Amino acid sequence: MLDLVWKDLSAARRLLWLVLLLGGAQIAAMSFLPLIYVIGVFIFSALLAFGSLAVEENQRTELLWISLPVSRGQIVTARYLTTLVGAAVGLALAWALSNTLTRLAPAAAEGPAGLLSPSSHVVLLGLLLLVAAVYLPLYFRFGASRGLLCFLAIAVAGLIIVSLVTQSILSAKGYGALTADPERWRALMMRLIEWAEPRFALLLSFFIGAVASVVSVSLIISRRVYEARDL
Amino acid sequence: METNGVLEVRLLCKRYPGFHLADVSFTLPRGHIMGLIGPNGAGKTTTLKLILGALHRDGGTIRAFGLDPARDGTAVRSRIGFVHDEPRFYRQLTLAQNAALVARFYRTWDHGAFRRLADAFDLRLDKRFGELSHGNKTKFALALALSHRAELVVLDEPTSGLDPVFRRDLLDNLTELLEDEQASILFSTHITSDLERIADYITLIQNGRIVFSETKDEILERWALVKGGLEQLESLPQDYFRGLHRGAHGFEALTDDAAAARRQLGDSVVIDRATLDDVVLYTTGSDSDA
Repeated sequence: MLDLVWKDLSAARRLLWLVLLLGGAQIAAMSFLPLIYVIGVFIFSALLAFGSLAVEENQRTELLWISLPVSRGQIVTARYLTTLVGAAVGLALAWALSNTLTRLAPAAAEGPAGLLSPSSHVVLLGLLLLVAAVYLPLYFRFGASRGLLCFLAIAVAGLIIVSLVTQSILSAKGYGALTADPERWRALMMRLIEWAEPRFALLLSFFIGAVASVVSVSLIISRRVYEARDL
Repeated sequence: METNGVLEVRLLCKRYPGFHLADVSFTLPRGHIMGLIGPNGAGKTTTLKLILGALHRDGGTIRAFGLDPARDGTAVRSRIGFVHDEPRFYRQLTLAQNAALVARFYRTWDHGAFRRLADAFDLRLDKRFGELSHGNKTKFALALALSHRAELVVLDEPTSGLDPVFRRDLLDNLTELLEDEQASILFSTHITSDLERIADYITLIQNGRIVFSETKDEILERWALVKGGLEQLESLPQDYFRGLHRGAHGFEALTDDAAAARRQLGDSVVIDRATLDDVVLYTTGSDSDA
């Protein structure tokens, strides 16, 4: 199993080095702007997590691996492990880099310092794994490119649905014209933060548990899909 | 043909929209070379992928070393060396790096054997895979396939796209390297002249069905080209030949029973030994109007 993870990382190492260098520089520059930093880190870690998929698809090396003595279940599980490793390494590096820089120049940092905490990086890791949990079954069913198209369609549909549901809930609670009134929006956000802050550890545990469950289900689906597929 | 072969395929079926591999059966005995021939799209690669367990069959059985690739795929593939028609390795990695990645998956990997094969094939291990010519890519894939003491080597069109000199070298290398081995080879190709040199058994597949699966000697003895005048055709049943080409002054046809044709037609026609190429051309209808 670890041989397969090593294979994925070795095969994509040139790309990974490039992402590390450019992404590292980008993150270093953005460390003082936490909200932009979060977006940068998300992209950086996603590239590290999914980079080897692009290499595999581009060079059609899947054909090689199906002729070697490895089961499809092992291939799928190794891919999930590679994704986890890539995402975790990306986030850990980004955290270490930003943390060092903001300590060196604390006056330059703006915005809520909590965004750069290890906990917030764990949340980012969870979000990345949720993305992987949706994308990887599509990858194992349709391949990297078609899988990505399906994922984007699902993501867009999901965002629209979430947005509509949120709007409906807010309207029902008397916050119908929220977007037109920044003060009320700020007040709502503050209330939300006040409610969440003391419960953060509990919410984080719940989130981690939910992510683990979703990823486990996704892994089972991916294995079944890939084992049933003609290659 | 032996029934306890290293590879036994019985009534193998696979359905695709517009294509049906039907009742494919053959046996490859240990230590022999079998050529799987047929035109493009006949079902050769589908058969090989089914043997590897890359495709799911719709019917029939496959036994490789007594195991079913659908159930024991990992165990079966550990004893098979496979060369794809277009070898796929990581272009940006060197041959040594690619080989190291593959070697990790074989308990029987023999690094010394790999080095010897790489030397025999004139492959520089510090070269990137993406820099190799098509022929050298095939040689590299072959070196890898032969470096883990494979009992069955499966080659899917390994010589397609290679020039004749390169093909001859490759086949010479293959036969030399396997002279002292107990390995069996299943060699898919549409270049039949390659097989006349090295194959012990020939299996012809056409439109997803087996036309024959016999020893090469039996085939070359039994099948013959018959040449004669058009008037001789009048007295023969329409399905007498397996393939027929009518010219302005005579005909040329293929029979699968040269002895019977000699007895019945005698000296009124010329009967020549058929090549595998003739057999494929006439039986697949590529050169006949029968």
